[in-house]
Amino acid sequence: MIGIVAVSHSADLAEGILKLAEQMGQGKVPLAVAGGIDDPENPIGTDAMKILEAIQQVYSDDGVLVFMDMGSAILSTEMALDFLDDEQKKNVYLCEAPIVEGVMSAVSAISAGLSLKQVLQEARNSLQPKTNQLGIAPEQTEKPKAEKIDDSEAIKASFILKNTLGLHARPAARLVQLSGKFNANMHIRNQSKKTDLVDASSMNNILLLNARQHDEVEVEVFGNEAVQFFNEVEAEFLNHFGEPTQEFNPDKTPAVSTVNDLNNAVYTGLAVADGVAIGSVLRYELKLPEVSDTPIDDQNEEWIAFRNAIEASTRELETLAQESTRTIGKEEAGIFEAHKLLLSDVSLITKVEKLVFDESKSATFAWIHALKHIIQEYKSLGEHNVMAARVVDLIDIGLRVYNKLSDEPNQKYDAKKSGILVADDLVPSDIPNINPEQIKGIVCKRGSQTSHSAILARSLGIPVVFALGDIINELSETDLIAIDGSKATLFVNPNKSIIDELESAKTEWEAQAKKAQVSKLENAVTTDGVQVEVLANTANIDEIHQAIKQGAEGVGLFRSEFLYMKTQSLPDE
Amino acid sequence: MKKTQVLDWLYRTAAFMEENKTYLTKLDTAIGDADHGNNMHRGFSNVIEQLPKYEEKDIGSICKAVAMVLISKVGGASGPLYGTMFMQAANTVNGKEELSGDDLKKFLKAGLEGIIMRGKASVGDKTMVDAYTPALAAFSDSIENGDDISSALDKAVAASEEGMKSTIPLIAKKGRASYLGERSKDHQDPGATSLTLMLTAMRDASKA
Repeated sequence: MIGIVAVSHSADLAEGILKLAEQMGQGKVPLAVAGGIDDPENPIGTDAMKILEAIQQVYSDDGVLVFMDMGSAILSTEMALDFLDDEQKKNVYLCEAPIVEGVMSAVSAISAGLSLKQVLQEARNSLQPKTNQLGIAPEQTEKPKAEKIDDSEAIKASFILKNTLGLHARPAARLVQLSGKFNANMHIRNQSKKTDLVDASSMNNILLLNARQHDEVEVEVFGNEAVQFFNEVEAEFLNHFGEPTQEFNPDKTPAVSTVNDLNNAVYTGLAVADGVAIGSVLRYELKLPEVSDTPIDDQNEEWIAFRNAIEASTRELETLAQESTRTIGKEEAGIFEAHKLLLSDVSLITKVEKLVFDESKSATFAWIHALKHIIQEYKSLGEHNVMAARVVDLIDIGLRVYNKLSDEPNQKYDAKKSGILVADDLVPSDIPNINPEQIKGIVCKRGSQTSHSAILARSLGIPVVFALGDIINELSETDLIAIDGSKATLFVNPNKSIIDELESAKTEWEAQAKKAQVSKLENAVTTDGVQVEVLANTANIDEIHQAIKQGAEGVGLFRSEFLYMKTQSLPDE
Repeated sequence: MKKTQVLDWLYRTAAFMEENKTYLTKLDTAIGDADHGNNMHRGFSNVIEQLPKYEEKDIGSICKAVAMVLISKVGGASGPLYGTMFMQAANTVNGKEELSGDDLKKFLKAGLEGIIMRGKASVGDKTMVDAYTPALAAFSDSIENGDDISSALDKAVAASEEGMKSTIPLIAKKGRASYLGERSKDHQDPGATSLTLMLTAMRDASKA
């Protein structure tokens, strides 16, 4: 984790900053201070050796940010750097931000999981809320323009995108992560679509290039570590981001209607989870809420509320990423990492910042407004499939943050009604919250059997059918629908005979399930009388309860390190 | 200049800093944070306290030890500045037991470069550089003209004093004094003063 050092002439001031910051970072961010000198009569001053110790105390290869009060604090810090080896020195950054504001911003940015470059940026902008609050004219605080690239120094290259989905969320996230890792910058453009060069430290910038399979992408890398940065970027492109490269095949039209009339019609999709369900249509709608533009009292309060919501959402996503890495694999969990990056996306955050401070909008309004703006940009690219998935991602993070900001969390479906959930797409993060008592089954317009959502949906124990196509749009709340998960069929307003047939299938399925429920608690004995022990691989208490319910007799593999994953603190002895 | 004279220089500097503690602080009260006298005194008392441990070593090692004490004990900006000066200067005299005029010229030059590197000041910014730069030029000219070390140091001290006085009408561009802007005028720079004291101590040691 990135560490912070505060250097002050005064030990009291340094300790005070430490206390403030610890409260803010909840003890997660490594902090050290170097304040005053060892002379009880004249304790005010700075000591390069103390600073060196403080840096070493919080040092990791993730980097260290040093904030200094002034004068000798700066000189002594620079002196201290002379005693670090070159490898370490390169990871220590002296930040010019005002010490109190800078440290506080950095702590919150680090706990939100931002990259070093982004943390520095946050710290540098840390005076902004105060400047705005005091109504100081913006030209006095204008941010320095981004460094111009010296053409002669930039490394330029073009790559043809080979992977099926082009520069979609995961590869974009990878590029953003790389750009945070090196002391270098990258500009990128889609040559095939003649876009402008954009800064590759923003995920939205990259996604909006709309770079697809076979498009030619041009990159320009510059800065101190341009070579190292470029090498990794090149490796990613050449390895097509570790993704499949078969030809991109736009949505197959999987749904097959066997009857012209909607009633009694049967449609086929992709089987995700077995079972039979009959029920009314329960619409699942993934859309951003309308937010009214209400006047606000205090821009700072709005901004802090927004930052806190982002931070809390980031932590949620971290937990989700960890859990799903464990349950369904690293590859699939990558989507949460991508969501995390979207939350720290500079172009998105800057939009919100502008709306809050320049236009005095509420945090909620600013967030939803900024998101809708970006979604509009995606939609204007016009192409359906891949971009639609990006919009789903944006709405998902949008609602996640919105629900932290709003007293009335957005409901994607009516939690009071029971029925079969009908959706275009299911957001993976919603699935763990679905209550199988209420939701009898799930049908989706899109989706694949191997998607993250499908894997999660299978664990619900209800029938699920994906990729039913346009019929999903035709369904209304008044329709009665039935699904047979094993056959991947959807029936709309089935007639009596179909219902009877399905009812009996359902009864049979339920009986089977019940039988399995009962027999699971019995001993597992082979037909020739050998008893087999049934053991569950578990990671935590919840899973153990679940395992006992499902008839486990003991624990097979127990990963003790997972016990600590959810806690914020280290275990004691 | 023999090693004993180098040690003598350090002892004399410490004595000067003690004698002029109030004077330096007074200068610093006018345009800074009123600690230069205390800081320099603390720094050099620590230096001579540590010095017996290093007396047997070569001049380079002695100066490095001085640098380490100063950067840790001075407390103000002069800590890293003089610390870097001694550190950079020390690198030019590694392993030496005696310094020729030419050695001392390189030694002093590296010291000035160290201060400039650390403080990023130029002549006219109202800093120790205003005294050091003309002093080094005078010393180098004098050595190149075939003078001995002690007469070259005479000229260096005279130039340093002149440089020190030249800081009086200047507006400070560096350090705490720069916060005062115009109001830093009509005051002599404390750093230029302590630097001149240090060179004076060196001259005195070269004659002893």
